[in-house]
This record gives sequence, C-alpha cells and structure tokens, in this order.
Amino acid sequence: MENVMIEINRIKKKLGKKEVLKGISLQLKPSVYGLAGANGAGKTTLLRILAGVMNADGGEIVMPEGSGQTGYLPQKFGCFPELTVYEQLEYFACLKKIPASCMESEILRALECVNLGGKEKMKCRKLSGGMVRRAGIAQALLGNPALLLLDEPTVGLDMEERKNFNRVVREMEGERTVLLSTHLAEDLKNLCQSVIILESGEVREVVPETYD
Amino acid sequence: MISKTVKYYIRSKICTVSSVLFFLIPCGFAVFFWKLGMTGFTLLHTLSRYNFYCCAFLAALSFYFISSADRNHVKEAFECGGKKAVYENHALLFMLVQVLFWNSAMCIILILCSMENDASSYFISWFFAGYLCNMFIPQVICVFLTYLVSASGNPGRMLTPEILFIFLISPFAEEIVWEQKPQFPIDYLWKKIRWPFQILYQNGVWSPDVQNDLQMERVRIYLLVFWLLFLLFLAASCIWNVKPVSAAAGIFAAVFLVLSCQPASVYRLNSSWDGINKDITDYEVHVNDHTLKKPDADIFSITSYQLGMALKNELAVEGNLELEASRKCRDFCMTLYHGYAVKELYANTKGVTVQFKQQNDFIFIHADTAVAKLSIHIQYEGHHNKYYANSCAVMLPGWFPWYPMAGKRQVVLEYPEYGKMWGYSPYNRIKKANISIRTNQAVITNLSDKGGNLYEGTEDSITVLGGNIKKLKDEVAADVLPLQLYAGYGEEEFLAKQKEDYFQSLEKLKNAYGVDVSELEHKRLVFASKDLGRNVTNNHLAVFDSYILAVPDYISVDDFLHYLILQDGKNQKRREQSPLIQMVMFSNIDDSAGDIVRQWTEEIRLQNEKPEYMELFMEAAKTCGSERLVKEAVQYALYPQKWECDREFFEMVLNKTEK
Repeated sequence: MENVMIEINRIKKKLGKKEVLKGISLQLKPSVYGLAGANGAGKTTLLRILAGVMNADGGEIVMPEGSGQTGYLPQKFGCFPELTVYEQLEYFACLKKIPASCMESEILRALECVNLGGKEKMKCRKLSGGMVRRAGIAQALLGNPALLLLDEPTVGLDMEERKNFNRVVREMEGERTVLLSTHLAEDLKNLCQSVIILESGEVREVVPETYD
Repeated sequence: MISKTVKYYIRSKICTVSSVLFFLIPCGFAVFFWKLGMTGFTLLHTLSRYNFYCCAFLAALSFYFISSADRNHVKEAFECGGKKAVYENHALLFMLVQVLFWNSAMCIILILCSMENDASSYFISWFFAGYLCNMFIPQVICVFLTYLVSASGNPGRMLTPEILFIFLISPFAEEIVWEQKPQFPIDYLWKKIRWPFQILYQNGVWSPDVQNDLQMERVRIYLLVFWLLFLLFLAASCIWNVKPVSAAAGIFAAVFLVLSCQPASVYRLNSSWDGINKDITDYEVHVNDHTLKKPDADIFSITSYQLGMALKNELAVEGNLELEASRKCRDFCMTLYHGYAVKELYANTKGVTVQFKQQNDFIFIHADTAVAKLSIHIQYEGHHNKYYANSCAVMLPGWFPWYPMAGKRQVVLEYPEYGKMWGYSPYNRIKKANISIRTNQAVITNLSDKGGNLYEGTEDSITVLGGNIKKLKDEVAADVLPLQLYAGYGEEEFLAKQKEDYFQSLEKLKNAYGVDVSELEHKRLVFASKDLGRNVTNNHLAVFDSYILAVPDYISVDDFLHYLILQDGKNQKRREQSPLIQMVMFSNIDDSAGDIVRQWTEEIRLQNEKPEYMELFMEAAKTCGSERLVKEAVQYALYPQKWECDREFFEMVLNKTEK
C-alpha cells in the first residue's frame, strides 16, 4: 500500500452499555474521505477517537512519524463570545504550539482560506452561525495539519459559503488526509474521493475500496 | 496559553466584576474591622466564620469560568490531539492564583491589624496554621471540586453533587441539630454523614474560645488532607489519567478519612443534646436531685498519683495510684467521669489481685485480699465535650474528675436558689497527695514545673491547661491568655488588674461584709479562658489549697461570695425560700450599699411581697443604714440556718441596732 497515511486497526468503543464501534479497520491515504451513515452509526465517535478527544477501548491507530498535527472541527463548535476572531484562533494556535514568529501569518492565512479575512478584529459574539462554523474550520486548518477531521462541516453554511468550503477542501486533495462526516449526499459526491459507510459501528462498505 | 486564559477572564465582564467584588468586599470589611480596633484573633475568627460565603462565591465564579469552554462548545476542539481538559487546567491554575493573591492580601491585613491592635506579637507567630486550615484550604477544596465538576464532560449533571457539597459544608447544615435525644438515632446518622463535610470553621455564631485553637484538632486536619487527596485522586484518575498518582492519592485519602473518624476531643459549641450539653441528658439534670450533698466519709484516699498523660486526639492517661485506707478493706470506689474508659486496671501490690468494674462515673475495685494499702496501675482514655484535652489545647480543671478521685463524687450540681441553673461541681477536692504527671507537651498546671514536661507537687487537685496560654514568672499570676490582650491592655495591665481585683475583693469581703477570707488569701491565680464556666453556673472561679482557678475578670466580690454561698449544700432549700437571700444572690454586691438597697426596694415592690415585709425591710434599711443592712444580709446568705425566716432576720437586725 503506497502513501499510507493512517492505519486504523480494530478500533472498539463502548459508551455505557452500547458498543458504538465494533472493530473498525481502515487505511487512509492523503485524500478526501467521506464518512457516511445513519444517526448512531458511530461517525462522530470515530472522529473523536481519531482526534484524540476520546480514548478507544481497543485497537490502535498508527500514524507515521512526523505526520504532524491533527485538525479537528467538532459537530458542535462555538467561540468565547468576549474574544475577537483573531484572539480565538490565537488560543488554538497556542495549543497547537505554532511558533510565535509565524502565528499571526498562520492565523490570517487560515482566515483567508475560509473567507473570514478582514474579520479578525470582530468580536465572536457578533458572528453569525455560518461565520462561527467557518472560524471552526479555520482553527482546524491552523498548523497545516496532515490529518483533518471535519464533523458536519457545512451545517449552517449558506450556498456561497458551502461553495467556498468545497473549494478549500478540493485544494487539499493529495496534500493531506481529510475525513469528512456528513449527511449531505452532495458533499459526498462533490468532495470525496472515497466514501466510508458505517452501520451499527462497523464499516459496511468503502466506495471505492481503499484497502485490500 | 495561561496568558490567553487570563485575557479571556479579563474580557469576561462577569468574571472581572466578580473578581473585583471578591477582592474589594471582604478586604474592605477586614480593613474596616481592623480600623475599628478588632484584635488579630477576633478578625481571623470573623473571617473564618464567613469563609463559607467566600467559598460559595468562589465555587460559583470558578464554575462559570472553568466550564466556559464546555458552555461555549469550544472544549472539544481544544482537546484535539489528546489534550484533555487543557482549558480547564489553565483556568483552574488561574483561579488558584487568584485565591492565593486574595489570601495573601488577607494575611497582610491580619498582620497589620495585629501589629496595631494587639498587645503582643503572639498572634502573628500563631495565626498562620489556623488561617490555612480555616480560610485557604477550604477555598482551594471548593475551587478544585468545581474544576472536577467543570472538566467532567457533563458539568450540568455534575453540578447537583456540588450543590449538595456546598450545602453540607454550610452553616445551614450546621444548624440541623437535635436539642433533645430523638427516639430513632437519626441525629447519629446525620452526624456521620456530615462529619466529612466539616471543612469550615464550625459554630461561628458563638464567640470563640481564646484558649482553644480555631478548631485545629488533628482529626480536622486529617479531614482537610483527605479532601485534598481525594480530589487529587479524582483528578488524576478521571481527567489527567496519571495512574500512579491516582493510586497513591486514593490510598492515602482513604487512610486520612479513617484517621479523621477516630474518637477525639473536639470542642464545638452547638445546641445538640450530645454536644457540650450532653451531661444534661447523661445526668438527667432537672429530673433528678443534684443539689450539693454532704459526701460520704472516705474510707480511703489516694496518696500518690504517678501519671503519664498523652494529649493526642483525646486524653490518654496511664500510671500508678497509691490507695491508703483507714482500715483494711477489699472494696474501693473511685470517681472518674464516664467519658473516660478504663482500658486496664491491675494491682501492683504483691500478692493482691483486683477486679474492677466501671459503671457511670465510678470505678469499683474489688481486691481478693483485704488491704489497707493498695498500689494499682490504671490506663484510661477518652474525652469530655466541654473540658477538652487534645494536642492543640487542654482545659482540665482540678475539680473535674478527669483523674480518679477517691470515693463517690458529685460531678454536676443544681442550684435551687438560682432556679434551674446547673453546673459542674467546683468543690471536688482530693486529700493532699503526692502528684507527678508527665505530659507529651508543655502545659500549665498547679504543680511545679520540673522541666522536660514533668510536673510535681503535693496538692489537693490536678489542674492542667494548655493551648493559647502563656506561663508567667509572676509571684501571683501563673499564666495569661495572650489572645485576650489588646493594645493598651498588655500583660502588665492584665496582671495589674487581676491582682487589684483579687486584693480588693478580699479586702471588701473582709471589711465590708465581715467574711472570713483566710481560706481565700495568699493563693496563686491560675487563669483559664471564659469557656471554663461558659453556659454553666458557678464554674468561673474555684478556690483550692494553693491556688485559685479562675477566668480573668471573674475575680470579684460577687464571684467569691457566690462560690462560698453555694458551697453550703445543706441550706440550699432554705435560701431558695428567702426573698432577701435571693436578692443578695442576684445582686451585684460590688455596687455601693446605697445602690444595692435601692435595687432591693424596687425588687420587693415588683415581686408584690406582703406589705409587712416591705415595712420591715424599709425599717431595717432606715434604722441600721444601707451598709450595715447589706453586710448583715450577706452574712445571712452565707449562714441562713441562723434564722428561721426573713422576718426573724430583720428583727435581729433591728434589735442589734437598738442595743
């Protein structure tokens, strides 16, 4: 398998009494993958485990050395209302240990990517729902992550914003691994090279197949 | 990262305004009280009393701030890459830094207050531990607990246990006491549930005991340590995922919790039936007759006490007693307060075996051979709810059977001439014995200090005091309570006043009232705090062979007189029947005779005594003058058996005058 970025081996997770993930195995190359499935299929749980927000009960995730940061946009994302957009992203940049010397440029670049350039001094409480979502994408892009995990990224975005988002994602093709969870067939069709279909905590199908 | 967190805090108006108020209001009040003249100790007590509100406020503010990331849906994004609770950790750190600054400011205010308003630097050298335990650590516990709730992943749901915690540590929970013993031991259950939550200074509405520490007993320290370790265990296991720390913290937390539940002498002022008022129930005060009775003739006395006293969580005593009887006998009865359990008692005398039984306040010893002299070894431990004894402070008056006394003694007394008043008998004395006690810490006693915590003497009692009490090298006064002094009333002024009170009282008793003061003169004054006689009657002053045990400012004509009057148990009922003696006992005999007689006149009028009574009284006052009338009335109160009734007394007074 060439250019394998991430190996996901038999990941299991139980939440309460319910086994949410029953041994997920995947191999992800630098590409854009869609993650589809009904509610409760385990999409968000898988993304959380990959993001490191949640621990798996079993299995392992192997990421090659030097693979860099992970960018993660959760399903619910908000901002500290009292901070400006710039300050909010600065917070994330600090967490990602982006050097101070290039922090400003990195933040402005990320904001440009999501069409929030010029809004850095705006207070977060004044952002619309769509703008908050874009700010969330911007923070996920900080540090040029090798793995980008997006959970329902286009929720709350209007047509224009969705187009911009699609453009951003397309530009990442081949550069990094993007795993994008969505209910929207249009997003799956337009953005994803492959679609991973989850059902009841298992991989039902990968279209097209990405592993032997 | 921390600077970003601080920036966010400052940007949040709610947080900033709350912080400003949190600093300004308590510090403002502290400065206000300082400038009003409060001593350092009183100010610290006040702060400790209200610290619950600071803790509750801190908990609310911390919850608002630390759970911000979760509330604003930023938490999950922050935790990408496995940085669990990264925001909450920094937020906690910032809150703790604020708490540190706040408490540092308070400490500075306390020190400045003490420097200005106290008579000595005693408070400054003493207060820090008390401050930590009553102010700083409880605040840290509340903030840390709030951090755990906020970082739990479901702060909304976890808020309920925290609110319950806040309630259980509050003064409101303290107020839930049973003044009467309930049929079902629900109060016992409640106390057990509540004990781990007593992290704050308890019963702050009551004025503190200056001799006792600010509730710094070991068991309370263990409790505070338990909470710190328990919260550390929770953080390490649920949030930080550091297994070795979590295991160690969990184990040690359990150990300290168990240690905190040991039996202990803790002095707490509440109205619970089994608190300091426990003896009302134990002795069925107001139900049975506890008037002072003539004691049975002692068939034996304890001629020697060789005791080792360990003051830890409570009192533990071990040592040897020499019993000497007027004739050979096999049965000996001693009195020891029932709160002290005898663990071991055996005969040292060769060829003699003894058995013992402890029943209520009595230890019954039965020897297999009749002996006139018996040496026994005894070991006992326990505590009394009022007369505390622990590693922090000791209040063991010599008239209280905290040590075995020969014979059956009355522990509590009721005073019918005072209505429903009761107190501990201040009249218990042992026959002069050779006493040697060795303690595990320096104390103040009526015995001579031989150095190395060894105290010896030939005395009629053993008084042991400790805590915030300082030994003096004065000829008359043995000690002083430094936390009671203030600027302008230091040690010198204190000594001068107490001695003046003592000598002037004796003089007045002798000259103005014709009282025989030979038993009161030439005594050393040993002072204990006001809690010696708090909430009980006739315990503020007691006269022993070589010393007077008293509360400062309670050495007065009144106190001596009441002590002497109430010592005569035989005529208690007689005094109760005499309106004049009642007036003597309830008057302030230190006032001028004219004022006293005027008060009595008003009293007789208000009580609607028969007209002829008033006439007799007025005639006596007019004929012999106020001074002589009061003097004779005092003698009447002391020796009521000399006259059948008040009428006879008045006739005597008038006849004497006529002669």
